[in-house]
Order: sequence, then structure tokens, then C-alpha cells
Amino acid sequence: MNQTPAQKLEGYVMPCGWTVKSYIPNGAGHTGSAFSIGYSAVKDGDKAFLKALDFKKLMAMGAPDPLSAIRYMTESFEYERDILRQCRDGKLSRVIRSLSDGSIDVDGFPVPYIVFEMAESDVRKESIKQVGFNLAWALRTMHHASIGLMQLHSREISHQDLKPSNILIVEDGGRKLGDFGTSVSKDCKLPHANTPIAGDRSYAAPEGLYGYVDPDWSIRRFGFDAFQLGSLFVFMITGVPASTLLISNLHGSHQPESWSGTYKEVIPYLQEAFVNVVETVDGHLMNNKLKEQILSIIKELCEPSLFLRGDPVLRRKKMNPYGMERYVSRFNRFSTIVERELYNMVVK
Amino acid sequence: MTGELSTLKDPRKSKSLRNDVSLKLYVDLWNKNKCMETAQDIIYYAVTTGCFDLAVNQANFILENKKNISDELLFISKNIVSEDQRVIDVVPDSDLKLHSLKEAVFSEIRKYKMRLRGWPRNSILWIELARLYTILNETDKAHNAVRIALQLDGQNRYVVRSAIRFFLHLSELDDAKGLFDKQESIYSDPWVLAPYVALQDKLGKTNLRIKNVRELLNEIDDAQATELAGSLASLEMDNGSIKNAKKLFKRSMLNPNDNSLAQAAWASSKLGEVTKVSDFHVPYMYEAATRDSLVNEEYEQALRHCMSWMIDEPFSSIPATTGSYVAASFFEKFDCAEQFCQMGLQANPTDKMLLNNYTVVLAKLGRLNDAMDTFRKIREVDKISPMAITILATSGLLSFRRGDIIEGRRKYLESIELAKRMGNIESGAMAAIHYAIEELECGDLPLIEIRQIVETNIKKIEHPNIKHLKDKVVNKINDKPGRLG
Repeated sequence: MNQTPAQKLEGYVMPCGWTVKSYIPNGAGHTGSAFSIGYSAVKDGDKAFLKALDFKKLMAMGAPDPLSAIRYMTESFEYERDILRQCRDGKLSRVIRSLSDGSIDVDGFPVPYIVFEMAESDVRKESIKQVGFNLAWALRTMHHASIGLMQLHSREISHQDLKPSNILIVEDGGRKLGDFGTSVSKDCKLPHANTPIAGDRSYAAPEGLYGYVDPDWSIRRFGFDAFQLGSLFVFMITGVPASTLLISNLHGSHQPESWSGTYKEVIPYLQEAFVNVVETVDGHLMNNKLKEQILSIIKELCEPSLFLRGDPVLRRKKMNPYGMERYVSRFNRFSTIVERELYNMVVK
Repeated sequence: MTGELSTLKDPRKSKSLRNDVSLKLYVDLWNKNKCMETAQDIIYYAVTTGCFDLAVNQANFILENKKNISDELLFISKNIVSEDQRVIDVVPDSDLKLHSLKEAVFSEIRKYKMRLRGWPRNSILWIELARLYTILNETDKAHNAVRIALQLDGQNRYVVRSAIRFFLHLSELDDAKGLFDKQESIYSDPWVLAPYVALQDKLGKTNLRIKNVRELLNEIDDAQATELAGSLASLEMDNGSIKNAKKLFKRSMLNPNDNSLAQAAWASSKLGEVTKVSDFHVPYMYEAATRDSLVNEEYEQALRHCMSWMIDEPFSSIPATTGSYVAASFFEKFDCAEQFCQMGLQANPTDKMLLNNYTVVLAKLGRLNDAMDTFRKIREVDKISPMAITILATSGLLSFRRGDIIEGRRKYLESIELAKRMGNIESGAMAAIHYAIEELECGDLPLIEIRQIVETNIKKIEHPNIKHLKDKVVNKINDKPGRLG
């Protein structure tokens, strides 16, 4: 079988000194790697993950306008590289770190690449492995993910594709945000920056599914991220993302594909469906003593209306309701309570 | 319940969603390795895009490998698999109990009150609470909930339609009209215009701008037009324009919903076959299925569909009157008929036809005092009306059961005579059938005379259900040993 230049990297030593070892196949849920190929790489005994851009993969997907598609791919790759550089230089602790980047010639073709710190797993894979719901693990994941978002938002970057497979688990067990291919900063000129859904549709916030684009960049983007953070929590509790639960609780005529009215008009129906989503989560939490607090966070983050979503205290104070600081603190407090209880149980 | 709010499906949207890059990648991964994670991703995609057919294989995969799968995902998978296999749900006989309905409604009210604490500004929740109070005939509370819903979202189509239905249920026609007057876009929204046309028909008024209704019908697609075409068809039918009515009913059946189908099934019993209900599989089409089964003389089916209709619309008196009539007349299942009456009277305690049916049922069950008490609750009836024919006949039944045969005969004959004077063949025939049954039970009259009652009074009847009941009573007479000749 004819290999593309990006598929021939095994054994190559990159200009930055990393040696490419073996090919890592795409995992489920990794739509971010749609046009790239992953490898393990080593340098001075350190392990890393190398992502190489594969133009031919794009062609195989049948792009209607190949030249524009290549241009978009290159620009997206460069954009992701720049965002990651910015995060690395800003020392964002809960964002996956890029160690190096560059381009290498293979058979006369340039193959751009980025080297990342190696992740052991991701939340999606771990959730599938777990039998039942592990509240301590879920809360700590939420704590780390909310720190990641807080760090990104403080640099006016919105992730836009926060889903379980994009929450990576690194060597020390900490969770970090990965896959910035569809992230958006205020000055981003790429086409996805202007679409209602930049990332994976299956995990999108409801306003995106209905094609609503709020004129205010911060409301549009940070509101979307807030929903996805809440959806991540719903996924870890119920095994299904919030948007899927929400839509499956709607009558067919109110679902995004059928609805021809405005987003504002569909909100009461979404809110009624959302009541069922919250009750579903409630059912999974049974008599947990943190139940009310957890449900309250989910109600705030996954609220269908952008103008009710987020932290009510910040909203009352006319501050950014999608601000993550208070969520970071709440998740940390709850994680600590549950972890301490677990520790006490084990010690006793 | 919300099926009436169908909006236009945009096939272009669906087509572009089927070519989405994420989906292609998921499908690619699935083709390489059929695993739980990818199956889930494709299901999530299918649900959020409404393209359920994309995920049938994956849903089956989930259902076959249930281990460590949440109940929610299993539920969604089952829905995907059964999406194209919709059947009319039929509620089993034992589920039709007043006390279980009341318990269920009380529990739902508690649930919705809890929900409203968290979402006090959700108009849909208020409307649902109003519906639940209406079932219990708590009209003040229901009114309050409707008022709040309208204040919160007075232009929301669903809220407006539900409020109109509520006002019509309570016969508060002025309130319904007032609500229409407040609507900003009555002649541009077919779903609000349809009940407006029906209201104008009911009020017998001509403020309706028929030209605008027709213009709107020409502009919209069949799914949007279904109820409006049905309402206009009924108006035309009442005005005697049968040709126009049939044409409009035909349009309403091109993409019907439960309401338009029920309307067409009702029209079929008046105009001859407007539509073949059994050709359609529309969610919640219980009313249409009941009417269709009756037209086709499938009485067991009719009773089963009517039970589902009663459960679906417990606030309405029509499934209760229909169900009690079918259970009592065709099957002599008076216990079942009693449940229908009790459920219907819960939300409609003064409904004359329901009180009448309940009186008959109680008398047939031998509970004469209860029957008399119920009969007394029927308020004044116009002396020259179809209801008067029925009331006179029921009064005759009560006299027979009290042992006052002379008075019973007089009232039945008076009822039959009134029907003749009014030209109401069907009501007269029903009175004659019940009269014959009472004479048979009492055994005072020779069988030949009882047969004469039937044959003299039921000559030209074409209604298949009444014909069936006539045959049934004639068979009873023939089967009775003795005095026929």
C-alpha cells in the first residue's frame, strides 16, 4: 500500500532532536486527529507524542475544493501550533504542553509536526474501563478541566471542543486539556471561528446545534465552553453527554434538525427537556451528600439559555458569568471532601 | 401532545450533516474496529443531528453488548432501533382505573411543582401543571397556571394553543377569542390560525378572512398545512360546501398529525370515506383510530384505542362518552363503562352526556339509587334537542328499573316520538333499541310486540353501529324461548 510522507516517519530524527518511534492509531473520539498521524517519540530517555499533518488523508476524505482545504488545514495546524506555544510560554499547567514543533522533508514533501508531552490515557477511555461511577475521580477531573479552561479564558482563548477524549491524563495522574485544532481566540481568522460549532457536533452546546451565533464573542465562545464543561460532568455521571440527553428528551419537532424557528423560541422546550436531564443525573447520584451541590453546578453550566447559564453570583454582580474561578474552587472543595472520606474509609 | 407543533424539516440541513467530517471519521473508525466507544460516538452524533438511521447498527451493537452501559444509553439505543417501528400503544384494561389515574396525576403535580421551583419562568412547565389540574377539575388552579404561562410567554405557539384548548374545554369562548386578538401574527402562523378557524366555526361568526387563510395554505407545505386545512374543511362542511370540504380534507391528509387525522376520521363518518386512517402511523392517533375502528365495526379495537385515548386525554369528555358507550352497548361490560364515566366526570363533572351514560351504566349494574342521584345532576336540557331525546329515554330506563313499567313505556315512546319530530333518526333508533332491551328484561310484553318496537322504529337506519345494535337486539328476541309466535 502506498504510504503518504506523514505515514513514513518511523525512525526519522526530527530537526529538534526527537526520534520518531512507532505509529499510534487514532482512538475513538479523536476527531481532532482527523487529518494527522500520531507517533510515539523519544529524546534523552523522555517519551513524547508526535502529531504529523497528513495532507493525503484530507484528500481521501473527499474535499470538494482541495486547494482551499489544504490551505485551511495548513492554517489550522499553524494556528494550533501558535496557541500551544502561547500556552507553553504562559506556563498553563492544565493544558497539554507542546515540547517542540517544526517541519521535516519526506520524499521531497514538507511534513509539519508538533511534539507534545505524552498522555497516558484520556477521560473517555478511563470512563469506559470504570465499572460504575467514581465521584472522587470525576470531581478531580472537573477540577483540573476547569483550571484548564480558566487558564485558557484568561488568555482570551476558547477551547470549543471540550469532550472526554480531549481531557488527557498525564503521567502523574493529572488531567490536561488537549486538542486545540478547533480552539478559537479573538483574533482567529480561520473559517471555524465563524461557525456555530467549531468542534465535534456530538458534544456541542445546544445553541450551536440550532445554529445560533451570539454577536458577543465572549458570550458565544465562553458560554459554549461552560456548557461543554458541564456536559463533561454529565458524561462522567450518566455515560452520555448532556447535549445527547437533552436532544433525546425533546419531541421530534423541537429537535435541531426539524426546528425552523429561532433559538429563543425553542428555549422553553429545551428547558423542559433539561429538567429531565437534571433528574436523570439526580437518579445516578442517589443519596450522595454532595448531590444538591453537584446538581446545582450542572444546572448552572448546562442551562440551555446563554443568558441564564453560568455562575448566578457572578451574573448578579454583573461580572462574566462564565468565569471559571468559582467553579475551580467549588470542584476543588468537593473533590477534597470526597477524597478525604475515601482516605478515611481505607485507613479505618 | 406536542406533535401539533411540527415545524418544517429542512432536508438540506440533514444532507450536510450526513457529510460531516466528524461523522466520516467515526464511521471510518467503526469500519476498522467495531468497539463500544465508536458505537457511542456515532449514536451521540445521530441523536444530535436527528439522523437516527445512521446509528441503527451501532444501537444494536450496544443492545447486544450491554455490559457496563448506562440505562440512558440503553434507552437511547432502543429508541433508535424502534424509531421506524412505531405502533399505536394500547393501554391494557387494568390500567383504566380512576384511582390509579388520580394517584398518577397527584404524583405528576408534585413533580411539576418541584420542577417549577428550579425553573419558575418556564412557560411549558406551567402549561403542563395546568393540564394536570384540569384533569382533576381544579379549574381555579389550572386558570392560575395558564395565566402565568401566558404572562411568561404569551406569543409562544404551544402556550397559546394549549391555553386556547383550555378555554374551549371550559367553554370560555370569549377568553379564547381575547387570546387570539392578542396574537401578533395570526394570519401567518398556521398552527395558531387553525384553532382560530375552529373557534369562528363554533361561534358561527364571519370575521374570518377566508382569503388570507387560503393564501397561507397555498404558501406552506403539507406538514404545516394539515391542521389548518382540516379546520377550514370543517367550516366549509358546516356551510354546506361539501366539495370544497372534501378537497381541503384531502390536503390535510397529505402529511397529517394526530389532530388532523382525528378530524378527518370524524368527517368520514359524516361524508363517507375522507381518508383511510389505517394507512397512517402517526404518534398519539388514538382518537382517529377509535373513530376508524367504529366506522369499520371493529368494536374490540375501538374499545382498546379508546382506552389509550382516555389515558392520553383524561381531561376530555369525548373519549369517556365514546368509551362508556362502546363498553356498555357492544360488550355489556358495565364495569369498564363505569371506569370511563368516572374518569371523564373527574374533569367534566357537569357534562350531560357523561352523566347520562353513567346513569345508564349504574342502572344496568343494579345500583338504582346511585343511578337516580347521578341522573338528578343533569342540569336543564333544551326540550327540543338531541340531548332531550336521550334524557327521556334514560328516564324511561329508570322507570322500568323502579318497576314502573307504564311510566317507562310512556317515556321511551315520548323519546322516540320527539326524535321523529326532530328528524333525528339515529337518536330515535337508539331509544327504540334500549326500549326493546328493557321490555325483554322485564318480560311483560309478548316477543312479537317487542320485535315490532324495533322494526317500526328502526327502518331506514344506515349507521353501521346502530345497525349492529339493532341486529344484536333482534337476535336476543329470536333467541328468547317462547312467545314470539
